[in-house]
Formats: sequence, structure tokens, C-alpha cells
Amino acid sequence: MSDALKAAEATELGLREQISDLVHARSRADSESKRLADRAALPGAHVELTEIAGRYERQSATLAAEIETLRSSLRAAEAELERLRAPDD
Amino acid sequence: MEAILILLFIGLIIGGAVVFMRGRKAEAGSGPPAPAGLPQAPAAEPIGGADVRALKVGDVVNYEGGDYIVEGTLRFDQGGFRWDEHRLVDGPKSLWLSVEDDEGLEIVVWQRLRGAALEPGPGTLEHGGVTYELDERGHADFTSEGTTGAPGGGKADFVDYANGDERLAFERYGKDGGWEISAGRVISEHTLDIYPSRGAGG
Repeated sequence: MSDALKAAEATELGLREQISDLVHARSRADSESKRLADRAALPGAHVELTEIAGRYERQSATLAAEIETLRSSLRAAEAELERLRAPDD
Repeated sequence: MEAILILLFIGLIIGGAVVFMRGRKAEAGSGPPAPAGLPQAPAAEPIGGADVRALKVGDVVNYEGGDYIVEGTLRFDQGGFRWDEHRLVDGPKSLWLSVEDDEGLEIVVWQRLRGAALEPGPGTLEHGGVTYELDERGHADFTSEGTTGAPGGGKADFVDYANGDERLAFERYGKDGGWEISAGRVISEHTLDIYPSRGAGG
């Protein structure tokens, strides 16, 4: 296996692991946002809970955008990897 | 003169042995010869950058636009024949993914059917306008990892029905458990994108 192919494989795997991390982080943010929104809806709940729930919601949106950016990079890395794996013309 | 001839003779023997061993190594490394006139097929590459057969709790699977986290895995063993079922969750959405590598890889996406008035047993069953034929029934040992809703391990009964790529499955964990009913569809492995959890090596 050539050094270029090894590097391309490492890049692709690294991107996949980063996406996995971000998906987990987004899932936690979504879960917190929902939990706090539910608590904020209880009678007598502190008004700040709604604001904190909104912060998690915004964090989730930011993470979702980062995931899509990384997915685009992954598609490019995947194409480069397949180019290196493919037989020469 | 005699010494020179002896040295020459020894050199020829050593040289011959080296050439012979190199030839054997090359032969061992090349595998079976490709059929004449056909290009050598490339080695199988992992699907979507990671092998679906190696899926485990914590990995992420992208399927039909959703990023699903593997929250639980059931591993079955029926007398040495093994398959896995993974519980995938994306927020409020959840599904099951079964991975069998018997005579080729078969991946099925399943949805649990809640409250379906179905019982396994007859040769054919109808559900949702599809008529399924009995395909297989049996027992298997299983272990559970993560969150699956099943006990940590034990015996499971299963009854499988099929109609083309459509599947209907009954599974029961332990003798006192009720039947879990699922409807599924065989999918191409290439429709999945796998994002392994960090440092898991696959």
C-alpha cells in the first residue's frame, strides 16, 4: 500500500470519527434542550430554563451545520481514496 | 585451484537456494492466478469506510438522511452461525438493523410492530397487504450489549417469514417473554454510511 493511500485512509477514518463525535454531541444537546423545555413548561418553573433550553437548541443547530461541513469533506476524501484505489488507465 | 573450485561450487549452491526461496515467496504472496484476459479484481473494501459487520454500540449509522446512534446490540449464535441486530436511534426515530453474513451479506432494516395482532405458526401470514411465507424457525443463544430492551443474555426463539425483500420476524427472549414482532426490508449495504466511534478500530 502506498503512503498516499495510507494517508488518504487515515484522513477518511479521522473524518468519520469526528462526525461520530459531533452526532453524539448533537444528540446530547437535543436531549438537554428537550428536557429543559419540558421542565420550563411546569407550573412555577423559572423563566431562565426556557433561555437555557434555547442555548442547547442553538448549540444543536451549530453542531448540525458542522456535521454537514464535515460530511462534505468526507465525500471529497472518499473520492480521493477511491481514485487512489482504482486501477490506472 | 582445488580450493577455488570448491568455493565456486558452494557459491552456486547458495545462489540456487536463494533464487528458489524468492520464487516460493513470490508464489505465496500472489494468490491464485487471475483468469487469462481478465483484470485482477480489487480486494473488497469496507462499506462506507467501516465494516458493517463490525458495528458496535456507540457507532453512528447514516441511513436515509438520519444519523442513527447504535444504542444496543443483540448478538445471536445458532450452533456456530452468528448474526447481529443493532438498535439504532436518531432522536425520536428508532429502527433495528440486522447483519447476517451467511451465503453473502444480508442487511435488513426493521421496524418494531407494536400491538400487531399476529402470532407465528401458519405457513403464510398477511400483514399490511403483504403475504409472507414461513422461511425459518429456530432457537439461538443471544447476548445483549447497551440498551436493547432484552435481558443480558439467554435463549431466544425466532420465526421468520419472507416475501421477496420483505421480511416479518417474531422473536422471543426467554420462555416467559412475549413475541416481539418486526417488519423489515432487505437493503443494499451501500446505502449505509458508518461513522465509527473514536479509537474503536473499525
